[in-house]
Amino acid sequence: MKKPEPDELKNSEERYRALFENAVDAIFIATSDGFFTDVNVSGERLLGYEPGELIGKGISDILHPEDMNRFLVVRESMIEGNARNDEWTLVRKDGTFIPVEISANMLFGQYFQAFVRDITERKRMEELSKRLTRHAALRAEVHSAMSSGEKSLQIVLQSTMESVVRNTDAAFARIWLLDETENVLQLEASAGIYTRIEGTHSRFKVGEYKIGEIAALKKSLFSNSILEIEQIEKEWAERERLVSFAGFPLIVNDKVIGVAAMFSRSAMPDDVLEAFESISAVIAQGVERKRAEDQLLLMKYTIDHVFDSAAIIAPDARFIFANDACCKSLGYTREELLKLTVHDIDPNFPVEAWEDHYNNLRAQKFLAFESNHRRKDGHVFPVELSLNIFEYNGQEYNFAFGRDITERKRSEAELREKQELLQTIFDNSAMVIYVKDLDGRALLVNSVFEEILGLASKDIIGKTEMELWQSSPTLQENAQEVIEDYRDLDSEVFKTGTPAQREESFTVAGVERTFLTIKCPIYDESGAPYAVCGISTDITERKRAENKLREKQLLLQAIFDNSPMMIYVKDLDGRIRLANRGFEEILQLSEKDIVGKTELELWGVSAILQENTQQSIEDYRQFDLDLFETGQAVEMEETFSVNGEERAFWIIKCPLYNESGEPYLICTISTDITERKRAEVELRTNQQLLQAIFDNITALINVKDLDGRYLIVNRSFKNSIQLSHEQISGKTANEIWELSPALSGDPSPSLEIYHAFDMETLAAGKALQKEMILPVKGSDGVALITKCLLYDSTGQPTSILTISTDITEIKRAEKEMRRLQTELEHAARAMTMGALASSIAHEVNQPLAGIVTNGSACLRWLAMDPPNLEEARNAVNRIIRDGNRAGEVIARTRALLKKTPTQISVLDINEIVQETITLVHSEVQKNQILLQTNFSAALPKAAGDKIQIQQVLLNLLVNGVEAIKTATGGGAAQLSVETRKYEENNILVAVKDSGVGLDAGSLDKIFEAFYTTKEDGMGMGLSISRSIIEAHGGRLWAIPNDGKGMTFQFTLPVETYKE
Amino acid sequence: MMDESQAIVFVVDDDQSVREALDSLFRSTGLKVQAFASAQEKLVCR
Repeated sequence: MKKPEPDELKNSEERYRALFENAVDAIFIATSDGFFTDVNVSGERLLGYEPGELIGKGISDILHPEDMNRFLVVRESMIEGNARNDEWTLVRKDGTFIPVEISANMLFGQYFQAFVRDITERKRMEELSKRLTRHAALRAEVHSAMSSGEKSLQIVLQSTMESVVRNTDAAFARIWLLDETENVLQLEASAGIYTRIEGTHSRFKVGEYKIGEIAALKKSLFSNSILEIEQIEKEWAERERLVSFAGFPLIVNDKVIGVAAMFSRSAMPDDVLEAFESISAVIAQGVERKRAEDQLLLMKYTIDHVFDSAAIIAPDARFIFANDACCKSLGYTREELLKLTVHDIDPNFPVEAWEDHYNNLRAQKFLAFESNHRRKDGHVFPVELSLNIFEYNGQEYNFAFGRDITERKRSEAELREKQELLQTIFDNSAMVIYVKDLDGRALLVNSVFEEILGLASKDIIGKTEMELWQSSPTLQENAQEVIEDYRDLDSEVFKTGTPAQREESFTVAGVERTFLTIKCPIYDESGAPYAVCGISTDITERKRAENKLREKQLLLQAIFDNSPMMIYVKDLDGRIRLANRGFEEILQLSEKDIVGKTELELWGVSAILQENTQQSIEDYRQFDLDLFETGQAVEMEETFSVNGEERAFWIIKCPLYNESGEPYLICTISTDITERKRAEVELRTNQQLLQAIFDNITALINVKDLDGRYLIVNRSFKNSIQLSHEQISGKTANEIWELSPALSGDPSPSLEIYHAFDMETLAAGKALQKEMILPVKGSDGVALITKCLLYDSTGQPTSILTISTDITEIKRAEKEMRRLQTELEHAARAMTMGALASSIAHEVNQPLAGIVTNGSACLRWLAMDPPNLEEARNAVNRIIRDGNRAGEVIARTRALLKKTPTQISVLDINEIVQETITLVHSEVQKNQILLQTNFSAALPKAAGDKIQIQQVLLNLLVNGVEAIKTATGGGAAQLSVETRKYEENNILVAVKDSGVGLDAGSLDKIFEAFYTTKEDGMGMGLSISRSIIEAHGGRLWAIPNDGKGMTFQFTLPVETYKE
Repeated sequence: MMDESQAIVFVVDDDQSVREALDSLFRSTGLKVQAFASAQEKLVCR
């Protein structure tokens, strides 16, 4: 390339600058990184900037943000060397947008050069053209929709609104149609963002809100600033981003029939409004036409489908029009009928009568009467006609309505018949029939009602129940209550509309009567109840009979079901007709296996019956037949084998008679009497046994009634008082005393005691025992008398049984026994004491030795010069003490050796133990035994015989010493005595030795009499000890020690008596 | 021969009566007496 000259260059530069500055197109030059270096005047003007103001700004400052991404792509393409021609949206200084077309290329490989042309106008035209095309489509769609005949108006309108939304920028579009009766606009179609037509804005009163205002003023309303329209909810409009609104009244023949409206999110240009206005007009016309069409269709449909005949008759009696019902009722096709006249089908209107009739009709304008029509087949039927005259286009027509009243005539006749029938029933029925109105006033009553009330019809009709009740001579009960009850039932009947039935009782002429009353509502033609009909049947007798029967039935059923007897009923063929549970159980079959079966069949399935094969079925059968023959009930006892056990049954067979008096069933009732028989036998045996005892027992037995009269006495009783049964029976004790040679003395003290005992027994209600002196002459005997009560089956005491046993001998023996026991105890004691004799002697010897020595010492103290009186006095004091000590030992020994009767006193056990230990003291020492005592300080007192308790202690201590003496081998010789409280109410004394012990065999026997382990023992000590302790209410036993020896211990009950 | 005034008689007897009587008798002769219930007691006391 040739390098240009400087002048040439300058000229070129200037030329280019002029071109640049004056170009119509806007020219922008920017660096490759997007900053403007040069913008011409057109460019600055286009974007509204001051000259030079854009220099240094970037492309991003003027490019619409949405175009930025595209710009980056385009920029790449340009850097690659491509020239571009694209459409963009630029942002002006004031923020408005401007559509432009930009031709751009790279300059010197480092600048963008862009030629920018404003295409606003072109864009607008394009959009307008687009809109107009859509509006044309909209108009076409609306036209097409509105002329579619088949669809319903609502569907058609909806499709028009959908067309509006589709073909404009409308957010939604709606149509309201005027409901003239209510003067309300009803939403019929809604398309776009709202499609519901039942919502809150579905109804506007004319004049109310914008839509109503449009209808009221017949004026369209339009705004591109929806927020400025009053009565539009601003919030809602803002939320939906709505901008514009247009509403047009739908007007036909100067009458508003509705409103069409559209809402848009952008401003609506005039062309949109025009399009909407024009389709509104089309829609209005369409709605009107569609409505007219629908109405016509409906009319035609109605005329054709009414049951009544409808026809239009010309003045000359020709048929001009006849509906389907008319043709059908007359039996002609429409073509045939339209060729006929009234004369042909109505015998009452021949040609000669027509003129008069027609004139009459013309004068009256309307006629209604009954006539007859003749069908094509010649059948004549009654009709009801209504005629009228109307003029149309100067021509007179007769419009005739006819109705076949054959059915009505027939039902009228039937009704009449029925009514007569009902009247007859009403007049002659034995039931009480009455009809009351809603206030309870009598409308109609029959003669029975009159009779019951004892009132004449004229005194009944129109009266309320209360009035009737008060004026009736036969009804006396509490009217108020009864009538309220009636009213309740009546209103219930009215409310539910269904008849009610109940039984009611009241007193008529002093007699309680029961009625079965049925109440039913009576309706007028409109279906409203206006009266209640009551029908009461006197069921007093029936009710009474029913009740009796039911009671009896229930009773019999209960007996039948619950009887332990086996009951079954057979018919003449031997089939079981009825069987109770007892029968089912014995056969071990269920009801269904029994009823309907013959005996032979039962024999086949019942194990129980099979056991009794010796009973032949033939015999049974014959028996039954004989029974039918004689008609007499039979009773017998029979034995059957049941589960291998012989059982006795008491069987009653009786025939049952039918109404004509012939036997037709046999009832068999079997009772298992095995147990009863067994019980009878047992009872008899028992009775014999008791009788034998009663007769032979030595005790005296008598039974007295509660008045004290003897009823039964036994032989011993008779013998003892030497009187016969006859003499005793029925007498009181007093009377017997007089009679008996065996009784003597003043009876009253004895009898008082006996009587008191009787009373005591009665009060106690249980057997009582007492010992009493026998009142028999010459006897000092003692009797043990037992008394108890005898009761009747209801548990009431009826008599007193007295058993007296002569225990004189027993008493004597007891006394002797006690004496011997004492002897024995004494002997044992003496023996024990004997064994201790040397020890006891030592116990006495010691103090004696002391006394002697003290005496000597005393003399010596006195012989001194001067005599030592102090020492002498001390010696004498010791002599006295030792003398007492020796005396005590002797006293104790004597007490133990004395034979004394038992004497019970309160005992301090510790003290007794201590005293007893004194007696064995020397024995213990002699054998070098360590004696330990451990006495409980808080030991309670015991009651008993001191000597006897000491004897037991002595026995145990001596045994202990001897056991220790016998023991071989080492170990300490120890004897310990312990006293303590034992269990709740006992004192325990334990004597523990370290002696030889006992083997297991001996342990069981040591308490037996004459058992001893000692060479010189008698074997009485422990035996007597145990009997002593047990007589005191305590226990004596032995237990082997853990180590050596045994422990013998006994308990005594604590003395509970408090001093 | 021991000086009589120096001699002590030990009385050992488990019976109190005998023990006390002997104690008194010996003392009435002018002897010094010590009485014990057992030999063991005597030994313990010494």
